[in-house]
Amino acid sequence: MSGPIRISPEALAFEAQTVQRKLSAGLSTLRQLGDTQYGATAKHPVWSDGKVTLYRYQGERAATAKVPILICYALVNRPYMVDLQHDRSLVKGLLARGEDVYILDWGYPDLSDRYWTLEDYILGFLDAAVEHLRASHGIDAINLLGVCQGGAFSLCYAALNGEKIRNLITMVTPVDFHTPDNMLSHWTRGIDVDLFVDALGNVPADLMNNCYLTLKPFRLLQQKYVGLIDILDDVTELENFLRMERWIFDSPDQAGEAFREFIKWFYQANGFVNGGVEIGGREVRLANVAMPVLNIFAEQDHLVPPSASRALRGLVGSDDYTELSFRGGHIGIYVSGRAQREVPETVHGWLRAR
Amino acid sequence: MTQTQDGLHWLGELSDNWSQAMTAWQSLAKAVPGVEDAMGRMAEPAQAFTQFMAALGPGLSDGGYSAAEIAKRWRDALASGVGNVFAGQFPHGIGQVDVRQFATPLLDVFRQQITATLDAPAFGPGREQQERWQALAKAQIANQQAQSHYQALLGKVMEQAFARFEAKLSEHEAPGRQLGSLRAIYDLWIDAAEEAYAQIALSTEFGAAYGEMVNAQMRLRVANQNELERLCRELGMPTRSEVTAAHRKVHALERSMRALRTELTAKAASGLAPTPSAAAAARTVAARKAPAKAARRSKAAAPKRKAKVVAKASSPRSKKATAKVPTAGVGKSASRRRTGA
Repeated sequence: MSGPIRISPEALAFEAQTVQRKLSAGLSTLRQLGDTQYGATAKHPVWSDGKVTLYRYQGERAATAKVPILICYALVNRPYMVDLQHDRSLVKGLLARGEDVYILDWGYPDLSDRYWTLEDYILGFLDAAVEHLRASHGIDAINLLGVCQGGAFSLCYAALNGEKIRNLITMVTPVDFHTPDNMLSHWTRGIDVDLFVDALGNVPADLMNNCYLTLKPFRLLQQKYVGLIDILDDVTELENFLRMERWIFDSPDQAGEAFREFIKWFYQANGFVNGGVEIGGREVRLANVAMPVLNIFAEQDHLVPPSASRALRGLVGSDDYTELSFRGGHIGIYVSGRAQREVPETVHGWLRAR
Repeated sequence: MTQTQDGLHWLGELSDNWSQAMTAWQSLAKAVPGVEDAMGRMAEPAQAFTQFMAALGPGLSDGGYSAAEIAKRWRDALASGVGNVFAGQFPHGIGQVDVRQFATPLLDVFRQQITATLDAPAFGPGREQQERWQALAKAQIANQQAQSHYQALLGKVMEQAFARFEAKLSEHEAPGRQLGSLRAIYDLWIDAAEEAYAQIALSTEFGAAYGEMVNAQMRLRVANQNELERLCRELGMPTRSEVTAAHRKVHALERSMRALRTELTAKAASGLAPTPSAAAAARTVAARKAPAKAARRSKAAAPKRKAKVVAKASSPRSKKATAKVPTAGVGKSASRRRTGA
């Protein structure tokens, strides 16, 4: 029996020299890079309330869609992931197909915002943004696209205000929080969230990021940076890497009360499945989500396992339910080459058919 | 020297020279802000692995090491402290697991004695203070215990990771399946480690330990905060509780204001009440860009501006109207906002 490794001296030499060359090149390449910019598409604010701002994206051509899309992003990261750079932009893809795209930016809550609740976010800010679009477009209902936690918000909103939503799109959205492969949920269930929020006020972004990194510590804290050596001599790839790195760690703190409610109601009580979630005095029942629903999830998602998203099919009241199972991860669904080809086209095609 | 000899020579000397080379390299990199961190990020895991590969030496090319031997050498390399993924994340590295195993019984006895002391009743004028301090000390001990339990589980992760690594290497012992690059071996290690981690991290024991670690930290934080608050109050300084109470009131006022605004808008739409002023309505971006100027305008032209908003709702030209709104200076501080737009 031979050993498991067989590397020829030539291959070894080549690999060693390559690493050496890349490391040396890295010094020069990194010096060429300035501050990493992000955001591919021009946008302007059309409404705001405190730290929350509604932006409208400006495409290179006029929108042909009569009903605008409002993107409702998660609270835990910044929304520019959907428009990271010119060749990695869901927004750009939608605009190019004639969609009229808006995005709600939650801003960076500080301690004076610690009492913001899910009601404030969903029936306050989100509803106000929807109302603004209904009024400014002169229509009864808009298209709502919720991302991750923003997808959960969108489901709540659509369940409570179905008449204002014409079509609902959820992307990498957790619905069943208690699937056995959901590591985040598994950890969260043992936490005394009342104690946690009372002690911290707002939940610090660094703490949240640390939690996410430890979901896959060997890949995210080591392998990723060893892999970085491969692109040290490529300015463009390095810029892409740094842009992503910036997005990952550019995270808002979480308003304490909203965090408390989200963890209790969804991560711990699994409220979409088990019921019992009440916002603004009304119960959130996914059976009330009667508008057409497009549910897009990622097959290799370690933050929101596909099983957590797929559960939506059996819970919504809509008889017009469509799924897109995307081959990629939680982030790849926005920035991968495949995503640029598949996701905007799917969303646009699905909307046009309705 | 041929290319092959050059590469082998470089790899052979890597173990001894790596630290020096990386130090020099990082020194160069310090000239560019932010680069040093990037270098550090790459250097640490790369250093661990190249040390490991250099330690395998000439056995690489003739297939002379078994899976067990390779896994053992990798364990030795990691035990030296380099490349520990949990370093910096948690207080203890894997190299300290064995030490803790020896020390744990002694520490447990010590903790029991201390805890018994902390349960002693307090008397006299200082009894309230003593009880609080006893509670604080207990919270510290409980936090240490919770951390230790959590660290012990991370130690298990590493043990199982080595076992999985060896098993995965064994799968490559058959001719034709052997690994042909350093990176392939490294990636195999990462796969093994992540699998081991996932198995333990999804266990009931880990979930409970994680929850208790977080809860113990928070109890300690609250106890510390309480003591600090008490001290601040005695010194006449404002406290977190006071600021929090003010924030709660501000939030309640904001909610009331929004509810009233919504009610007024609804009544105005149905003709039952006067139009809410522009200052009370959800503020337009233009008004926020130049508050002073906008305030002057709103006094003079509030009815007109509202009429414009109403008109926008039904006018096909409304898109153009909103597109003219200026883009800069809205909301947050410039230092945190880079739209790139």
